[in-house]
Amino acid sequence: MIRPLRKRHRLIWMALLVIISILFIKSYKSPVNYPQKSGSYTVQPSDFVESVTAGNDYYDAAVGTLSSGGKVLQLYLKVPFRSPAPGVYVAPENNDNNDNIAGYRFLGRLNEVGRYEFKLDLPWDNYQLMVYDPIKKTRLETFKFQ
Amino acid sequence: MGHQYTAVLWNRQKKVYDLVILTGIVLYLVLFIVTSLILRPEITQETLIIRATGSLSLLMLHVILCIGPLSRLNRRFLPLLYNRRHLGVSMFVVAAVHGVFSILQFHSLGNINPLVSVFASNLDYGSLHNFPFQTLGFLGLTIFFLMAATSHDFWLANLGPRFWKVLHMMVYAAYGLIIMHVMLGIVQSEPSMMLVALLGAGFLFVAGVHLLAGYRESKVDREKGLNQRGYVMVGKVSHIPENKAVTVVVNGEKVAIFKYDGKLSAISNVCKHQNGPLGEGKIIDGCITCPWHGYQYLPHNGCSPPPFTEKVATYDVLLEGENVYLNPKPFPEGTERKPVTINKS
Repeated sequence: MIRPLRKRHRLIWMALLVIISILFIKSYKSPVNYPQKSGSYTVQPSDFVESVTAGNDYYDAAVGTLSSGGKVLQLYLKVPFRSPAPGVYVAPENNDNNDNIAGYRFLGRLNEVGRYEFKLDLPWDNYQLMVYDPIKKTRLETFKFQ
Repeated sequence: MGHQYTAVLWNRQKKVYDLVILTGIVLYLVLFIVTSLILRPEITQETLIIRATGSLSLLMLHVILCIGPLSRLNRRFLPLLYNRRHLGVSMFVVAAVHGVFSILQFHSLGNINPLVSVFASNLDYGSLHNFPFQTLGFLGLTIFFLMAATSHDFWLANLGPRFWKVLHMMVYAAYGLIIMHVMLGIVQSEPSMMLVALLGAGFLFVAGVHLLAGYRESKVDREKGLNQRGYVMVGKVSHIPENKAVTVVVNGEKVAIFKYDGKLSAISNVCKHQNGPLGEGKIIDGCITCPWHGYQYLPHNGCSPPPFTEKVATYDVLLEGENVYLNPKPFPEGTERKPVTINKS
């Protein structure tokens, strides 16, 4: 390697060290605050004053109402969704616009098989819960509770 | 070297090198897949392939980037440098598998072109924590493709050494893109302190060895002063290993002074092939042999042996007692200079 190239290498690595270190630390300090999967539910079904359920071969879901009036979604995913970014969303019942999710509220990602639990603190009386992929802009599942 | 065109000049060392690469790749993939299936049996095949090839290509990229500075810090790493481009092309192939599967899995079933989807599915470019990290990987892979496609000496000769070198130094930009691609992928999809720490340690190690090698060379790059007769003091003749060289800097570049067969000769330290450091090579079959890719030069005239045509500048050496001096004035490339004979007394 000739001397100008050696000097260029030194400058490039000094610049990389500074730039990447700053971006690395900044991106670590601002992680995405998604609710994470938990191994077990924190609320037991017996704690619900009432509940509705939905399910099939791929999942079991339940929305339970606590004595305080708060609602909780419990979801057991049996098979992973074949989609890049499946997430649980909630929207007003009349919002079926899948291309614009501005009216949707994101609850959490469904990365893998397991139990998920989300608190439903909603401003709407009538709502719909779904699994939606914002990358594909596709509704993967709409929960039909009974 | 070869004077007749063949796609790859195979020799035993290259075959062994490539066999080690292939074995390493297979072993890593098997180990990763088995471990993943034990720890996370629910993982899908697509995710497994994406993660196995992604982590393997990242590991290979770190190894590739460390070979250069480690070879400058310790000559025992030089054999790794010899066929580094095959390692680079292998890394690109593994990274391409990762990229293709990622695009198929994440972008192929949408209602827009998958390649457009990579850049348009997430438009949060103003945010760091939600930045579309897949675009960084795509850009890094594009640079690796350009490098792999032009890695053969055919392209070095046709693009010209200057353009070729600039193109291949883009690996550092690609490395920066890949580090942030992986980092943002971790924090956005599966935050893990262990993965972040591993990635950070890998980056600091690569940057560290590059800066350490650069610092050492910056000290060597300082020119020595001329004596009253206009010569540069090289050192004691006994300090030059047999069939090897010491280097001194004159006129901004290194000159290599070789000791062989009881003689001393000096030529430019810069190989005509890829600017390899001839002074770190040794004399094999009477020829100075570049440690990078084996290009050879005759010590007394700086010419490659026939039928090759490469030439480097030659210099005059002066021996007074034990002390070796160099005349800093270069002779035109390929000029024959009579070697200095070392008196045994």
